[in-house]
Amino acid sequence: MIGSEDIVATIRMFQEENLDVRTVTLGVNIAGCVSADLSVFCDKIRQKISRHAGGLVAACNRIADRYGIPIVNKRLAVSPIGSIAANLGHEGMIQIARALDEAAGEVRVDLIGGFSALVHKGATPAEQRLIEALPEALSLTRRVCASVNVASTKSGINMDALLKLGQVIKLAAELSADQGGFACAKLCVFANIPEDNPFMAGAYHGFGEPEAVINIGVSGPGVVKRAIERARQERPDLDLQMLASVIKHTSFRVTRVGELVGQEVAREIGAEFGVVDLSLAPTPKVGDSIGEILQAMGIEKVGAPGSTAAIALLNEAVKKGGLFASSSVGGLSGAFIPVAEDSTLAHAAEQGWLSLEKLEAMTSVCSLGLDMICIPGDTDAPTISALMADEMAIGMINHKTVATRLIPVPGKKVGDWVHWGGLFGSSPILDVRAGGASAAFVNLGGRIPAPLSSLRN
Amino acid sequence: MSFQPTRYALSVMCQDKVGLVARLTGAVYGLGGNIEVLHQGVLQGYFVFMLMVTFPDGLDADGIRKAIESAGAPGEFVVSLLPRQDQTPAPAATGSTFVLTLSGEDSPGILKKITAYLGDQRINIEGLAAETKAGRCLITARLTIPALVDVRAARLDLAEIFKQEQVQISLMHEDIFAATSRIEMP
Repeated sequence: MIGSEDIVATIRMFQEENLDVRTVTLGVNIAGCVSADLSVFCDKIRQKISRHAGGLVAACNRIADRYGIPIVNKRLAVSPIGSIAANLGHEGMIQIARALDEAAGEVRVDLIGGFSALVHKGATPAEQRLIEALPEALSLTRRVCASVNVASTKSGINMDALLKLGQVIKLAAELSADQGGFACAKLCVFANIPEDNPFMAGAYHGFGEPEAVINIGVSGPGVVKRAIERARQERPDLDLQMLASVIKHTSFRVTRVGELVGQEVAREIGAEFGVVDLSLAPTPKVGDSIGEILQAMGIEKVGAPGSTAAIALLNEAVKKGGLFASSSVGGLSGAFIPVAEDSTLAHAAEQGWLSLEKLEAMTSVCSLGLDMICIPGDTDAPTISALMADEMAIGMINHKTVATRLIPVPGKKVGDWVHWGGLFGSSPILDVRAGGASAAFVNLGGRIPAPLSSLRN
Repeated sequence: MSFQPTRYALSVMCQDKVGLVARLTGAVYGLGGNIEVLHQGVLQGYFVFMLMVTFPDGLDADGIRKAIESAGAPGEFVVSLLPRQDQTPAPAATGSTFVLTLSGEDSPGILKKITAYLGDQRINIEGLAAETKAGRCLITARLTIPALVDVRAARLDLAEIFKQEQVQISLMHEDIFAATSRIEMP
């Protein structure tokens, strides 16, 4: 029998603490859709997505109604286009992006990931063309998200790809200047990219995945924050070990909700169930913030000394609680600190408490990287490449998934704001200190060799 | 001659004190009775004891009541007996199990409003608990909701019924609470 205290605690998570299923992401293998005829290729993609995902939104809505759990986003991830579309030229890449966008629209999902290239050890001609096509593809489509894996612990960092991506990001920002460079918010640059990540913009359907698979991203920053606040009120003797236990307990509950929903959706649409991603993903909504969790833990100004230690504790406790709750944990599974998507982090950045350097330090112990970071529009491409290289180095050395979403907002200077609304939020423009001083390094190109720790056999 | 059991639903209420369960189960045992299901609680200092019991043939309700009452001081126990059918009745409703909770400012009539609505919708209450503390109430009910009932509409109806009151009401599938509160063994 479930006690009334457990019932009330569960209901509180939904009613007062913003717990929701952030995303149900259906991964679909589209490798079999490839055709030398571009129109056939596009048609096959639409048909396959329609076949597997046609019932996704309705199933999610039914399950959300049945369980009374909000499912915020329904998304798709497909096989990495750069790996399967060997024959496509620039125009072909754009057409595929449009076909993905239309297919996603037809099945009424929010976003579709997989316009991706895996170039950590080198790029094929098709992957090079995909990267070249990114600015146009992302600015011409609404739902398409892209990712490029430029580094791994096993292979090192592909600096040639990063150098190119610096230019690509600049161009993508310019092509979407009327939207504050929004195209860049749909491009993630990764080290150690996972094949089963349900979160955007970095989701793609990996080659080790089944034909169709449901991966779940659950979000509970509000739940964790309130649990910490309650514990601190009720236990004056609360220390950090106890605090970690409170977070673990909360993470357990959150993860269990995700697994329940994921299993049900997978059953209803005839897909396999993949993973629950434990990531704490904030939204711009007050009460749904990683920054507020750090404040609840006692860091008054996010970015102040102690912030890295606090988020390390949070990240580890979330993982431990989640791992106990589910045998199917994967994806990114860490606390995200995307500045634009977290109003408290954005405020801390505005106040100057949270700098780019501090964010980078924090990402060495949490997920995901320099995420949704707005920088001055006149930041030069090599500096953007160098910023990404720093983050990739953290991932490469620490056997860790990291990513960047950098947005050089056209026409904006340090201290200005950019507003996108919705889940993408708004952010001040952060200062890139000593910008323009890294070009000679990144222009060397080549590959930063893999670390010693990559040799584990 | 074959054994003909006599089945009763039996309830006992009295002021709570230590040793009551031992005295009452002793009285049932003394009558040759077998307890099949038991539910016991204490509500604001009052002991509430409900049993499903099978007694040997030949015992009538009056005899059982007197025997149970004699386990206490005169007038201490209020005993009720209801003869049961030989077969356990079919469930009053079939469907999915949901948990309804209402919390907030207490006021007269809340339970009546909820239960009247549930009855109208042919939703059966399988278990119900209500408590008040410092002017606030918490009601939790385990419900069987028939497949034909639109749960989403029921949530909206309940919100509408209580829109003037300072309460929060939720109606969620039991699976949610099972998932967040326990790990099933394979």
